[in-house]
Amino acid sequence: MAKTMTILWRSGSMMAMDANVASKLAAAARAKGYNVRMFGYGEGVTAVKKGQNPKRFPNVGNEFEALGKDGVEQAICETCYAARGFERGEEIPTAKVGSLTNNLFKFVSESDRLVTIAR
Amino acid sequence: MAESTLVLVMRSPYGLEEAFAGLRLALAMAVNGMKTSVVLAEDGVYNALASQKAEAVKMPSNMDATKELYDFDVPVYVVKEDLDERGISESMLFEGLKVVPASKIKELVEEHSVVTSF
Amino acid sequence: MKTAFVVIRSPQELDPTHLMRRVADRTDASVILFEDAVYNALRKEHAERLDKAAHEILVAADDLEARGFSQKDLKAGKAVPYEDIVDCIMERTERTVTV
Repeated sequence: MAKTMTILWRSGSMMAMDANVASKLAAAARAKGYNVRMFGYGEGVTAVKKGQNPKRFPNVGNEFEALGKDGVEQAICETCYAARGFERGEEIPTAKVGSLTNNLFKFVSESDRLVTIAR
Repeated sequence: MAESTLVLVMRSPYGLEEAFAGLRLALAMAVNGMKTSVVLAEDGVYNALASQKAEAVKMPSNMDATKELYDFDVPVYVVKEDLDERGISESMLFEGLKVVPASKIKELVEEHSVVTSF
Repeated sequence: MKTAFVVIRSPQELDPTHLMRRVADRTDASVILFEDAVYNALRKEHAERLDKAAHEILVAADDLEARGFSQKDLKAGKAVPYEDIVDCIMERTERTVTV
């Protein structure tokens, strides 16, 4: 059975390249046949906002959606999401608005590795 | 598959969300019955001060968030060398914390399946 | 315990070896440099302290290239694609610690 990597990312979609690093790491792990899960916490939740339209920068929302379609399970912290004024339904379709207690716990407990991408 | 989580908190309280977020993550793991431990290291040791008053900046209390972990048997360690470096004596800390030498971090990392940092 | 350390911040902002030395012996430590952390491998004194703390130093090749440098500029470690970073995390080490 393929090993599983969970990526916990906590940086916003535009504040740093961290979300892109998380995305590239997830893509590379998938390409090598690993299972990958991703959880967005804190400012990280902004990376799954639907309709991001950066004019000159990579579109991390699109990157995450492509990962989701490639089988990368994604969830974010609802408390963090609501704190930033987002509501359910505003996220890309591949991301689940969830919680640390349910989703991250499940991801971690089923993972071989946890990689934290944050600063 | 991961059976335990070590949370390293290396940021001070209130200026950033990080320390509080780390304590809440530890709680989320522990309420599910996962073995979870927290280490306050580097600037994270400032979270251990008994005199902190979160209400002064209308923030949730990192002291309360730490003490909530005790209800789920989450040990919270504070690194002695980092306290010393910041001029903090053990008498200035709130109750329930375990002051340990920095060498304990390595031992704790080895005892847990995964590590996350804040 | 074989540990992969993940570093994102520049050496001026953070000395990653402070935590690394506390967590793992050099022979058990790999370090992965992303974003501004790639500068850790470019200047001699930063590279030397990193080399003393980790037996394996991986530098994200695209982040290095974006900043105007390449393998020949590295004072320690090697520039690698993400595939090699995944191998380090999933196969050569047992856990990651973000510094």
